[in-house]
Amino acid sequence: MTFAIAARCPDSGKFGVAISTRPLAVGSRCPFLRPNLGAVVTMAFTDPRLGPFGLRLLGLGYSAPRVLDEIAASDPNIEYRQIAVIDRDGNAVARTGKRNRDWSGHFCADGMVAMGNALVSERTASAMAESFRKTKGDELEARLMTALEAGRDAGGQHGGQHSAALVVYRLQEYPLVDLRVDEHDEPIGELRRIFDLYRPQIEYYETRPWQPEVIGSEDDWATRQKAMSRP
Amino acid sequence: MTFSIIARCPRTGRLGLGIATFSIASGGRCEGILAGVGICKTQAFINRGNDLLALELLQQGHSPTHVMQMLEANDPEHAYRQIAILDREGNAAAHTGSGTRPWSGHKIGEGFVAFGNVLAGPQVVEAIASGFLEKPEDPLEYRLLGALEGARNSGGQVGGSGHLTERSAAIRVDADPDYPDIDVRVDLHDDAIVQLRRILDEFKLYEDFYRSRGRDPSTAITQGEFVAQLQAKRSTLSSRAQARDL
Repeated sequence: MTFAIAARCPDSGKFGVAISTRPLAVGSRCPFLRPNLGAVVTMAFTDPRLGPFGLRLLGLGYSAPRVLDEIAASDPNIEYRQIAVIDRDGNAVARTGKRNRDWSGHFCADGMVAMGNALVSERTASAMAESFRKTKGDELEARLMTALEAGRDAGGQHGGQHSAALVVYRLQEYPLVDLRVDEHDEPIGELRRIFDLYRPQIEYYETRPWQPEVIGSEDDWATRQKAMSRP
Repeated sequence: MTFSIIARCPRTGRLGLGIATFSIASGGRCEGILAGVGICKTQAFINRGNDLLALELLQQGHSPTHVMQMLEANDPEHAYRQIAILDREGNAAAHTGSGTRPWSGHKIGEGFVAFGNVLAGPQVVEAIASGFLEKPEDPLEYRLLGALEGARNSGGQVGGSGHLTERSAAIRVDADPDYPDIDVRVDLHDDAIVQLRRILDEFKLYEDFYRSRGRDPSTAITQGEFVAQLQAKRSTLSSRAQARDL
């Protein structure tokens, strides 16, 4: 009962995932990324351990298709899972186990996977893929956020969504963007609100550690933040 | 502008972290926790490179004190950081640099570090500690939440423009190195710690359901069936409560 889009940006080298589901705190269990290496999304009857497992296999040098094969060979419950793997060459693969509930499936393109299970229709997944294609040239985090909204607008999943997450890595070993809505009646709308407020601060956080005496005007910044953030 | 706690559960050895701040999505800047190894959290003028480096060094076997020395040697702006380190046995080290904004400070306790900056005063750090220690029989995630609530109730963050509310908060508890036991976040809300308690309480209802669903999907009930069971339990409890009141 989840829909997700995972992608690699060939220009910037970023990897990212946007995801939404009915259970709480999807961002804590499903998306797993490592900079300059790849992304693994593990969902449906989620076993979060498959995420780090996939990243370790990518780290050994296996390509995305081989990583997916190894996960499938190792997990006796693979038919209950939905998994995507993207590697540093942009190979993007996915596997939708036979036990997933209608509608479930995935669309893979160069450097992108759009997938979901227990969806209202395949439109949820295809709308994400379409949206992503149309936003080529934008920043990866913006493309993923817009694609997730497109998935919701195309119908989302049975029973609606209650949590969402957006996570993007650039070159550093810590995420460039890591935003979550762990429990909300309209988590994607809330994720969008937070993302729009957070975006201008991304460079602030990247710069700040190295110029602490220059960025000393944090109280002015705090005052501006207070004015901006009415929920 | 943050108040935080890192801690180890003396019963289970689980490691945990609690954080609340005026800034957005502070929970997304807490990558320095690894079960079986330790925790490092850098804040104030945060150096994001510190925490993962500290985990590597702890993993090699260096003590928290020695790790702190190495972080200092690696960072020309170490005076602007606030850093707390805990290893898997609960040994701790902490640093509140002279360039951090007042009031800033830390307190090392048995298996925990309470620390913060841009605070109302030292009473806030004391309140983190006493909030953590108040109910030792509680699971670690609730002790961390008690620590955050204690800090909030003692004045929280105060900057040049006055009191700053907590707009993001997070609690994380790890037993397994691959994924967290508890990982709940509020990334932007006017009353983030109140929301955090609400979400933690809700998550705890589903914790075992999510876990067994992943481990043993062939025997899993659907989310709908589980929710129905929860509601049945709730109405049994509330009708029992009503019967008592009559």
